[in-house]
Amino acid sequence: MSRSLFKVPSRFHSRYLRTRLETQGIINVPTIRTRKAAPRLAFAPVGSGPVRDVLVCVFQRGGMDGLSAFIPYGDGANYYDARPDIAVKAPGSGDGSALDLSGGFGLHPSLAPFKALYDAGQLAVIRATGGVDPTRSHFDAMRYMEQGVPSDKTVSSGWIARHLQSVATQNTSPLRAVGFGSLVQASLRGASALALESIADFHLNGRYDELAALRSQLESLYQVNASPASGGLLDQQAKLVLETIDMLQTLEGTAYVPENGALYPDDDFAAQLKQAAQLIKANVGLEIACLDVGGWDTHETQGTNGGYFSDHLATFANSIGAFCADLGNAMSNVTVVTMSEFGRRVEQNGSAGTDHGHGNVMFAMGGGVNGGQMYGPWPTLAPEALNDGDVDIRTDQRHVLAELVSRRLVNSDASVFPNFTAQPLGIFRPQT
Amino acid sequence: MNATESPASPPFSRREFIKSTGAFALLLRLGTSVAPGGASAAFASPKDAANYHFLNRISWGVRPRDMGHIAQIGISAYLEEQLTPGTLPGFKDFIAPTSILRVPRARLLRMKDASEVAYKVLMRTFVGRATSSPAQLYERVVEFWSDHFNVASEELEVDVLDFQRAVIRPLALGKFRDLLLAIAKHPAMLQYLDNYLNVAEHPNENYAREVMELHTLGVDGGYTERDVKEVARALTGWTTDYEFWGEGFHFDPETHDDGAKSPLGLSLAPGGGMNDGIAVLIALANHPSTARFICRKLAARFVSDIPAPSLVDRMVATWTANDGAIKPVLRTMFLSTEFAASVGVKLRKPLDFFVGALRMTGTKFSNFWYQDYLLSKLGQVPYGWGPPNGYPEPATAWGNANGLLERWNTAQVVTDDALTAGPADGLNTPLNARIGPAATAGELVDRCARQLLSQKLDAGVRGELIGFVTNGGPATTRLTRDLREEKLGTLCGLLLASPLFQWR
Repeated sequence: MSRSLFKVPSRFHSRYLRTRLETQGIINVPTIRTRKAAPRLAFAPVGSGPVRDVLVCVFQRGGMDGLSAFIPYGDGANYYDARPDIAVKAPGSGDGSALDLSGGFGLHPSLAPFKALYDAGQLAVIRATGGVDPTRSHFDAMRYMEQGVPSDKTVSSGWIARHLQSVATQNTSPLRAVGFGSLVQASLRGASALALESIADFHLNGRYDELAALRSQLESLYQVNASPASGGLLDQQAKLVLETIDMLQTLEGTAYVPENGALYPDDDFAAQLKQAAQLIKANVGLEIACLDVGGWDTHETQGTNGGYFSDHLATFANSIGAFCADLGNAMSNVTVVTMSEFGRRVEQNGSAGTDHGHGNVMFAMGGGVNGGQMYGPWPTLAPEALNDGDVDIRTDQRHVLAELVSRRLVNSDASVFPNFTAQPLGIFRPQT
Repeated sequence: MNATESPASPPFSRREFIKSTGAFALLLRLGTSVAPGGASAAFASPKDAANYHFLNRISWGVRPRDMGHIAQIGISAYLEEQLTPGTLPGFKDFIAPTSILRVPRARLLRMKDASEVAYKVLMRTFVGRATSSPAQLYERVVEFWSDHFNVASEELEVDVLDFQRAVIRPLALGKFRDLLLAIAKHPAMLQYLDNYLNVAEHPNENYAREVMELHTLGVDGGYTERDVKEVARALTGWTTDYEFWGEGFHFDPETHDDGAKSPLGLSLAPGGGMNDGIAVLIALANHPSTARFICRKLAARFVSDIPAPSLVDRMVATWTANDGAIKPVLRTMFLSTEFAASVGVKLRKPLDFFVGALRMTGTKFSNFWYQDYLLSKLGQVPYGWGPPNGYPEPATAWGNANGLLERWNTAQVVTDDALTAGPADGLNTPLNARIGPAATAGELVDRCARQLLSQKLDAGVRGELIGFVTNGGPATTRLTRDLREEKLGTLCGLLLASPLFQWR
């Protein structure tokens, strides 16, 4: 059952329900919205400072089994004997073999889109990485990773929020930082960030002839125009809601057509990436997009070879592959980075699944990535090299993220990763 | 307003009602508004204010008749009534007996479309009980345990239905130990956290870890990675009875690890069999960390997101003195000064908001999937949270732009005027009748505020809403039938969309 943990059940998927209700005539949302009024609120242009990448931060909730994504076939028996049912075959061993990265490492065949990006020099692999706290708890591990400070429960802000607060910019767009989904990611906690489920749905509903008055009343109830601005939690969000409605009014949500033949899978995560692409192209001030993809807590019947994991990983990779293709040349100023709270135990468990582990793999993509390479030392899976039965962490994830922030987001403020001395691995090129 | 977007046909139907526009606002600068947190001097007496606060926290919404009853008997007696739900008038009849709720699990599992049928029953009974049951506190406590012992219903619909009726509901107001032991043996939890696959040769640690981290001790409650492995060993062989689909639980001695174990400082001799697991669960239930973890969580749910340590300390003392019985702990909490002082600091979660709006308006959905769609857009479908930690609690998690917009829009849907909405449109609302007659605009606003919020609005907000009803006229403006029809739904929706209804 637990593989479906950390996943929004698909039956509750509002796109599905919407179709069902539209068929019944219960709801009726025009697919193309005709109004194209200019936004009422303008935001200051970003152009005054240095060029910065848009960061797309993808969190794989539940603890992805890195050893089923990034295959250390060179570890031989230490890998294959520990995983009789779920190991991926070495490259060139027939159907379902790993895609070779050389040096005894490969990618799961479902990661073919990543392999193509890797070969094109646009994707880097960071191996044996993760959060350094030894916890195997999902919730503590996610917390430490998203706050960007391990082993400390007094921190209330996220690493991306601290970046947003410390970077010198005049971007006042309500869409500066977007957390896709109904809850904002903890990495954004402490900054003004927009929770966004659907561009097409982000507008006021009500009686048609009362909408203007409705809006005006809501502005009043939530002190949106108060001076000085209200400090109330919901008052601030109300202001953000109304500014965002005005900004998104110019976009035609559901009529967005991806470019370059990009094919997004029919999936929540893909739909969110597509909207991120739409926002980037619309130039509405997006700097940060945080996305979640769940379904990685594979304690039983993992299905690495032609099963659940294999399919799930393919949807994940195809979604990100479509996003990169859709953006095309615009990827030169976009960085995508993926992470998960921990990897999984080297030895499979009794249910052809895996229990919570430690070290994992990250992927970084974009025009500013020195791709086609693997970064960080590999500890091997030799028994003496394991960390309590799990892949050891040899690259603190903060080294990767700090380099990303300093080189691609042009922010070297120490507050982003406090009390931490970053050592760049050379994954990212400095902005030019 | 852009004239080119006007609907072609004048009388508005639900279709146009739902239609989207980004309307231009009047951009009024207003001198008065509601204080953040929603508190305002809106009650006739401090006693009324205290009653409202109490009712608002133990229920999904405070109706005028609830205020009437508590005014007669007082908070303490009201709490005692709520703590013995079986004695409440109408308790057994608040929801039409649904035959499927009586069908044994084994038979349910064999039914055609069992999952969809069970799913609908789960949703309907949750919303029906929360909106209408006289045992509001009981239902709130049931919801608390359902979140605490979260089992997502996807792929487990029948099991979650049985989990609710056989374990959570009967034991919700009993002793924590009984609840924990019954849950450990229920097929819903056994499957959700994989203990049914936990066997001696290769233990599956999923349940062993979460029972300590999430159900009892808390992540900082004093256990080690070694304890996770030892507890997993103690619980090997606790599985489900698939072959006969009978009671559901089955202890399999063949797959139980019968060696010596030492979880959590216990010393379990070889050959303990099923008693190994029972010993572990009892030790967890009796552990002081568990008392603190659960009491703090109860206070975070019912008092404030970050509860005062002084209150948690007294709840823990009550818990310890009463062997983990829930009722005395609830008494300590609800009758505390910390509770009384916590007015307006809790944000309704989306489900609190949705169910509360239905309770206050009397609106019912005739289209099941329409309700499901709204809940899913609000972000909180009952039993719909995937991870085992349950829906998050604090206002900081839920108080975001997307959620706020969905609340505003949902408020407009559920208050749509009964005069213009028909059953074919998916819902019915008796709101028009509930508000009752009003001669003037001022009277209408006051009646709506009394019905939906049990209070008087502060003068500034009242003035704005009167301005809305009259398009800028005074409170004495005569309320014609046409004007009422035009404004009532949106007005009530605004009250439910306001901070006064989000905070409690």
